[in-house]
Amino acid sequence: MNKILIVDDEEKVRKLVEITLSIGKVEILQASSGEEGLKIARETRPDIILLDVMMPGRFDGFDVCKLLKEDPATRDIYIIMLTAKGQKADKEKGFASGADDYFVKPFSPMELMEKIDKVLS
Amino acid sequence: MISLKDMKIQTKIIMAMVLLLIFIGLLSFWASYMHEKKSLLTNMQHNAVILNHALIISITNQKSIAEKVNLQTLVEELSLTEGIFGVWVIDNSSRITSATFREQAGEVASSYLISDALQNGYYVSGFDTKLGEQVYSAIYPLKKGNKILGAVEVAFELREYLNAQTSHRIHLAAQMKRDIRIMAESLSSSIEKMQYINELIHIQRLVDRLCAESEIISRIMIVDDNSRTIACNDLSRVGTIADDKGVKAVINGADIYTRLAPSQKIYLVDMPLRIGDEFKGVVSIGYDARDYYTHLSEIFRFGSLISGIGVLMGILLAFQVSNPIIKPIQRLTDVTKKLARGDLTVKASVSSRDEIGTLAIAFNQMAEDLARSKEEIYQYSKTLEQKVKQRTQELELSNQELREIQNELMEASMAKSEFMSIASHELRTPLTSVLGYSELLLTRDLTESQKKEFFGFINEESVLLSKIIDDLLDISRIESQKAFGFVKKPVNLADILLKDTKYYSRAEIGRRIITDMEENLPLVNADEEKIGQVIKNLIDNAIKYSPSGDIIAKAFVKDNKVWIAIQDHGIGISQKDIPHVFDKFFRVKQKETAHISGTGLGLAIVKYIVEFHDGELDIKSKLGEGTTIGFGLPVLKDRDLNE
Ligand SMILES: Nc1ncnc2c1ncn2[C@@H]1O[C@H](COP(=O)(O)OP(=O)(O)OP(=O)(O)O)[C@@H](O)[C@H]1O
Ligand SMILES: [Mg+2]
Repeated sequence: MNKILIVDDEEKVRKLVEITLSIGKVEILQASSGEEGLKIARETRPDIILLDVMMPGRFDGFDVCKLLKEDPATRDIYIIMLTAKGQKADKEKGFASGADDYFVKPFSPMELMEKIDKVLS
Repeated sequence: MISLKDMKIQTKIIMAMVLLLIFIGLLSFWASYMHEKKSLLTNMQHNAVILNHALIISITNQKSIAEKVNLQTLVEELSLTEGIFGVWVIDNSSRITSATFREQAGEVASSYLISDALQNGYYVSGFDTKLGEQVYSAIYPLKKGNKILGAVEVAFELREYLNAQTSHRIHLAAQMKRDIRIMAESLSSSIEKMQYINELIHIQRLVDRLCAESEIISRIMIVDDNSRTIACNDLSRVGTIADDKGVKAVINGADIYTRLAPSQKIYLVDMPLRIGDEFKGVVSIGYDARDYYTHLSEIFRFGSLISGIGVLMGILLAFQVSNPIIKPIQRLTDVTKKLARGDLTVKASVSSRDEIGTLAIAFNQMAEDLARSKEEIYQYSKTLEQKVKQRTQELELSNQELREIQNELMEASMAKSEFMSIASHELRTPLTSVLGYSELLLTRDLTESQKKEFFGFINEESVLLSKIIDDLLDISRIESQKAFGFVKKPVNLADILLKDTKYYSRAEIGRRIITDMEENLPLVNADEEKIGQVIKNLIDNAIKYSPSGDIIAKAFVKDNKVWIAIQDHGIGISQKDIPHVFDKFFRVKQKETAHISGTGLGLAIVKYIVEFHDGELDIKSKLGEGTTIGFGLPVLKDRDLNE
């Protein structure tokens, strides 16, 4: 079964993603901060990470993405940035840190599902 | 080497003068030299011509220079006869006139036989030695009447005689005596038949005498038409072939040939010897030219002296002539140099009306013009400088202003874009839930409890959204500098503080807010709502920027003001950031605050409101230790209350 990790400090957003993807055959993992997300990603090696950018704590989403992409063990994880920062400069920063995809809040759960299906197939 | 180009004009003039004078000196010297030379030589030549005439006159009577030649021919012919050693013709002073051995001509024959014959005038013969050889010699006198003119000598070889036997010798001797006598006798008679023999001998005499008597003649030579020397004061030359240039030229038809022989210091004049119209030979007269040479050298010395004086005078003259020309030019040059060095006040003295004077006047004009234009340029550049300075200052000022405006604009625009970005984030977060959950509600089959939960989420987030929108509108109102509607009235700040702190539930913020208020605080004139917002903003910050620890809210009187101060034990603010926290949109950029949402307008609103109340702000903070931010509003006086 495919593993998907969602990292976001907003519980409501985590829950939204969880319910959206619950109809597929995927395992949903959750983390509420960058540090926690990094730890879980290293331990469980998910197929996809949905990563929020603005989070409290030592690492924000860009930091987490960069650290994972620098590490050969986690490099292959497909990272989708999930952020309310919709400006062009933010997108560029996201791709510069190694993100594979970008999803701007607010997003449509249906579209998110389609995207994840595409990545997994 | 100095080239003509580098020389000064004066030097050039002097050189030209000197050269000219040297040239004139040399020319006059050369002229006098040539004149002297010519007059000397023509003198001698003239002399020679006269002499030649004299010679010709003395010889002409004798008709017979040829006879002399005949005599020699005769002698030489006779010499060819078998057994004869030699033949000699001797004059009465024992001098050999002709001889088999030509070189002996002119020599004095010294044999005792000869002197015997000449003294006594009779025939003598006997053994003798000639040129180292034993001969038998016979001498027969030449006579004219009783006068002895000379003698003829014939010498026989003695080889045959000496080789013969004694008996035969007597016979041979007798025969020899007889033969020789016949020979001498016949020779003598043939010579005597040459009527002029005496005159011939006379030519040599003439030559000798002329040479001896004249001081200026050092040589006379008579040459026949076959170049044979007939007579010469230098006897060794008699009978030899004269082959010098002059003789040849005259034989070849020249009338006169003169030349200087510097080696012998003589002047040679060669002329034809003509008797009647017949060319008989050459007369060559050599004049002593020693005087001439000394004279010439004297002239030369004199000429050099003259030239030297000429050079000196030339230099003096050149100075004399050039000074009046050069001096003004030099003065002009000096003045020009000064001018070139930048002294524009110089003036050339005008001392003459010539070209130099004109030049000086023109120079002065030029210097004046130069000075004037320099002054003009100076004035112009000065005003220009001032103008430039002024313009630069103006530009600097406007640049400064522009820079300030630009900075302000940039800051504003940066702050604005950051504000937009933050606002966007603040709005998008609740919108995500509203959109997401509503889509789920629409598209999924959900349980009742799920539906209820999701509607709850949507409601919560919508409330938040409206709050944020209110905030943004507030901010935008401040942005556009539109004053809020303030409603000031006498209030107790402690009341407002207490009301505000109640707003924060301990559970929600995870800590206590401790109030520390002086009792009976004086009233202040304030807009309750706005001051409430100020306190709320300060407490918000204290909570946002301190992860834990109690928050202390104080109210006290100080310096005639009622103060409210909110203290936390949070992350603090660095010294460098403290002056900026009240600026619009300013937010400290660091990791710890990155996730904390805010617009950077909280404190700006605080400042705005406090200032509107004529209040004062105070901030104390230390990184990692905590922050205290407070404001004081003027105590409301009784007088104010009564009004
Ligand atoms: N009590 C405090 N402790 C530490 N830093 C503070 C404190 N109060 C303000 N700051 C700093 O000053 C900045 C400006 O504060 P301000 O209240 O104006 O804006 P904000 O809190 O970021 O946003 P908001 O408009 O939501 O209040 C803050 O971003 C923060 O970095
Ligand atoms: Mg604030």
